[in-house]
Amino acid sequence: MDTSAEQEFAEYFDARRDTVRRTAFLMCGDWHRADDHAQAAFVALHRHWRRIRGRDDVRVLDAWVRRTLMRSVVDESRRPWRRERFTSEVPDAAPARDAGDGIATREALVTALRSVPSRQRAVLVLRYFDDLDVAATAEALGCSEGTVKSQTSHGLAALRAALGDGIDDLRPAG
Amino acid sequence: MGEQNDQDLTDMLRTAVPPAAPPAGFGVDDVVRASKKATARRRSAIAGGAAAAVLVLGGIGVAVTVSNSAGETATSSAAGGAPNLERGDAAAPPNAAAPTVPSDTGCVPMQDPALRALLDEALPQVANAREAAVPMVCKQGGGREVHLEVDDGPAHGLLTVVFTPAGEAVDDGQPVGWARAGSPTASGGYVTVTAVSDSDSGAIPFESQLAMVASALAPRL
Repeated sequence: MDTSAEQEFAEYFDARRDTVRRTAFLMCGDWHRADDHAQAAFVALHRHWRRIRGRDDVRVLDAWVRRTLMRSVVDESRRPWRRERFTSEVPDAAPARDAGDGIATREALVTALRSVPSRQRAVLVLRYFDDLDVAATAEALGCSEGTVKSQTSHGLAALRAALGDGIDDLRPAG
Repeated sequence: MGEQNDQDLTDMLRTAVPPAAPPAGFGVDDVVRASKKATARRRSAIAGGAAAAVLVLGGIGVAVTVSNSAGETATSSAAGGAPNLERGDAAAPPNAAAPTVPSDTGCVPMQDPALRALLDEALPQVANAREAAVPMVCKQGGGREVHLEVDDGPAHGLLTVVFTPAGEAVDDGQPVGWARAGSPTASGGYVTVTAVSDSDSGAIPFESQLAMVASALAPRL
């Protein structure tokens, strides 16, 4: 890439790095792995920067990074030695019963999210953290809008089941 | 009620990330460096694959000549999954110059150029497939991997080849919606070839050819 393109990439990177890291963290629940996934997405973006940047629309860049990130996280969760295994037992998830304890609340949510199957978790994170609509979520995950809707329904049910009775305590006051 | 619950979950998820995330473990310089390295590896793999293809064609020509003159039919190493190198130079691995030993660093090359070249030979349909974005993973015993975004007619998804060195545990699970084939390798390790569809209802790419690919790779690893 020429200097101008490198500069454009660096500006985009600076503007989006933390957002991408946070999304990755919500997906995997671990900051080190989140950094791995975020970096992989930015590396892929850099390799294809000239082609993608040519569309001159930051939303296209965001969608591309989001799609690459989600693919990285979901694929890794299926890898032989790191494949997530789901059991009928809900982990000791929602210990946060004190609505005023923000850290414990976050831990309970992240733990509960991790018990949601990866594709459903991706839908929840994109729709309710990144505030994407159904169409944008479908584009990010490379699936149909109908699949997004069904995965949302299943994911919400799984998240609620993981949170158990603690969900009432986690609701924002007021 | 449902919309209210969805709004609640939105609020909850927003609070799930600590306001002050830990410092990032990478910067733009790391990204650019890794990108350039990956691009160089890709170019090397393409060059290696082209050279290997030339050698394969040459090897086939020699093998056919020898076979015809001797009046015998060449056997397929895929039948038993065992190395078939005793037939002489014509049957030697065309990519023998490429490194085929496991990494001893414990950090897996997630897009191993030499393994990619071998895969391209075994399944030429993926020769132009794009590498999937995958992070570096360090684990005991090392290993080698290739992850590709592949198209097989209307089916598209991820094709993964994992070589596990001898003595390391191999996960032989078979999740629903995946297809996988595996084979013991010549060096005592194990190679698995896995395909998964991108969409939940789509066909699995190259599902019927995974066993063939594993058998073709096994004698070379």
